[in-house]
Amino acid sequence: MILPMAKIQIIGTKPCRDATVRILQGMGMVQIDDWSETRALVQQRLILDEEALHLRERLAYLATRVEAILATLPSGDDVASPAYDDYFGKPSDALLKLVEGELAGVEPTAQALATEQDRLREQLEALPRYDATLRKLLPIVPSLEDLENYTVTAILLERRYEDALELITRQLEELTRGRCEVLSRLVDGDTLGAVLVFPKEQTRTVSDLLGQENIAQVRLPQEVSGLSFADALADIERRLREIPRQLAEIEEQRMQLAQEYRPKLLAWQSLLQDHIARIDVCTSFGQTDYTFVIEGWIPEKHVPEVVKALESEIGSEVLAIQAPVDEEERAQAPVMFENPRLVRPFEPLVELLALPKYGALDPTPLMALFLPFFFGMILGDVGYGAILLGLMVYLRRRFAPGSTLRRLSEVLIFGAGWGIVFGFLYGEFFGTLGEAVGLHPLWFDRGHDIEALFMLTIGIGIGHVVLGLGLGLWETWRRRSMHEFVEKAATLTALMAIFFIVAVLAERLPAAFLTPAISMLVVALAILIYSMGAIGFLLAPIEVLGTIGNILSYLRIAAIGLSSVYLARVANDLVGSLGSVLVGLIVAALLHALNIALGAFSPTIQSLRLHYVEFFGKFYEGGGQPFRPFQRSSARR
Amino acid sequence: MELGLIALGAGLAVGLAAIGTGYAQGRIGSAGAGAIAEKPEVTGTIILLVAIPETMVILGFAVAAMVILLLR
Repeated sequence: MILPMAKIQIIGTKPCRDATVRILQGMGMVQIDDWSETRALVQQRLILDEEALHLRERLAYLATRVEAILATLPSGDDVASPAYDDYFGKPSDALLKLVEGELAGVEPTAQALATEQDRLREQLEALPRYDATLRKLLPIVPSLEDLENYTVTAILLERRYEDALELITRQLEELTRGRCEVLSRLVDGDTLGAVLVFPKEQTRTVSDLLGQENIAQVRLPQEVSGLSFADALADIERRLREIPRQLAEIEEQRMQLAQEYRPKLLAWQSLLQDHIARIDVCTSFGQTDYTFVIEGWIPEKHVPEVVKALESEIGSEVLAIQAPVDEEERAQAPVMFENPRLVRPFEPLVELLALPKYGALDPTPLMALFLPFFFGMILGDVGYGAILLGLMVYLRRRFAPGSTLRRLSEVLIFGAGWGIVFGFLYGEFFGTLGEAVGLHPLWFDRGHDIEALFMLTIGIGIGHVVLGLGLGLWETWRRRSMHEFVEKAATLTALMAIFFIVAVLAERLPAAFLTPAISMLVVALAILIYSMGAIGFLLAPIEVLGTIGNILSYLRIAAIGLSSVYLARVANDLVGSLGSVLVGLIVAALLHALNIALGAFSPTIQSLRLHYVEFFGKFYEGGGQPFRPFQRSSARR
Repeated sequence: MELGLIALGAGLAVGLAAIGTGYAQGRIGSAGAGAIAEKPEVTGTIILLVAIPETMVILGFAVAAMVILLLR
């Protein structure tokens, strides 16, 4: 069901504001509404003063720093340390002091480690490239240690630009008046390596010259610049051997740091977010000269709890009352489900379509009843059901409580349970293997008695759609929406009339029923046409036909189920017909596995669709707003 | 011969309906995937829209089954 909501109004003197906000956040039961113009007669919107804004800025800056450190540390089991829980209630200044002090211990180390790690990784990436280049050039580089006043520059050229080298040599000779040397050779099939030696004072000019010709110089990394090529190569190789070890050391230090600080950092992060939220939420308040005013929604049953907490912790300077709500406001109330434990896993499936409007019917319990039933009817196999059940029980244990996947696995547990029940009713065990193991249909064999299966599914369709129309009638009656009520009543009557006519034609009812049934249909259609207005002539028949189409749509329960039966039969028949029993068994196992995978997926989608389109379409009203209480950030996770 | 024609008719009833459903679902699906990428909260509505043309193939199946059961 949808939890009844109440409007709460909290008025207090301004000095009590922080304490009130803290208590409300700690309890996490009130959704605070934004201040609205409708309150403008007696109040204004609360505007934060300079001091609060400054405090917020400091908290936000610190939160960013904490986040940045968290990003540099390797993640592990992320559980916030409970050691700092009492800082939730302490003033923000105390929290700021604590975190600022503690950050001084971890921030420089974490940053230094991250920087060093980046640097080493960069080197590990770049050095092999230098290594390869130097190896190519080394044979043509003379021993250059004694060329003190000369610059040595290496270049690599593609062989097809060999002419450019001659050009450069000529220009270099002109520039240096012959005081230069150019050595070149092929370093591999396509690359020409060249070493240029020229006076130091010409370095700039030669650089420009090479730049003009679009020739890239081989530059040594900073760490080895100044060394000769041979020494540089040796140095680079030594570094390449050392870096992995250094990286491992750093990683270990980071792990240690993370182990020690991550729980603390997470706790601080969450506390800082709580304190920031407490400042931010105040901008939704109203104020007069001496008081602040909070308005919000709260589950009705929690009102006394919040009133009592405020009274006992702050006293008479804060007053909380349940405010009266008019119809228009009630329609805006947020929606929160409260269902029995077995029904709860189905809530996300309803939300997937749309959250129901506040005050409307919550279809979750009905979905919890019918969805697994439809699923089971489609699956209908003891073997598949048992495997799916085992798999879902295992998956349920794997996922955290409350997570969507866990809820989905719980939904499928119910479905697989019904699948086993229907497996016994249909006498199916991995399709046709049922007979081989002595399993006989308790009801009928759906693979052979297709007519019975069709009748069954259409019967279920009639029941489900009529129930939907009935609920629609009830909902429209409750809302006093007479127009829609008449429309639904007329559709339902027309449907009943059609059932009677079909029953007479199928000789299940005496022929005497025919005339009253046709009259009933005519009257119902006339009312429907009248209630739909000018285009009723067109829409009314479509509405009735559409409803019949909805009922026929339940044939999918039979169709999808039969396709699974036939696939299983093919799998079983293959074992004997493939010549080799082993190959047959493998192929059969694969086909059964495919069938189980399809058996988990397809019935879910089909049952969901039957709910969303055929069933909900008759009564469901979506568009509700989710209940978002003002609460601690740790409660949201 | 007659049995062959019945089977052919049943096959056509399902097959043609399946082509129609596939065409419609393909178009709705591609538009829906785009819509979900921009607004994930419409996922439920899109599943619903994609599922709607499926009725065609189900009705095709119903006709095929009737052809086989009634004419055989």
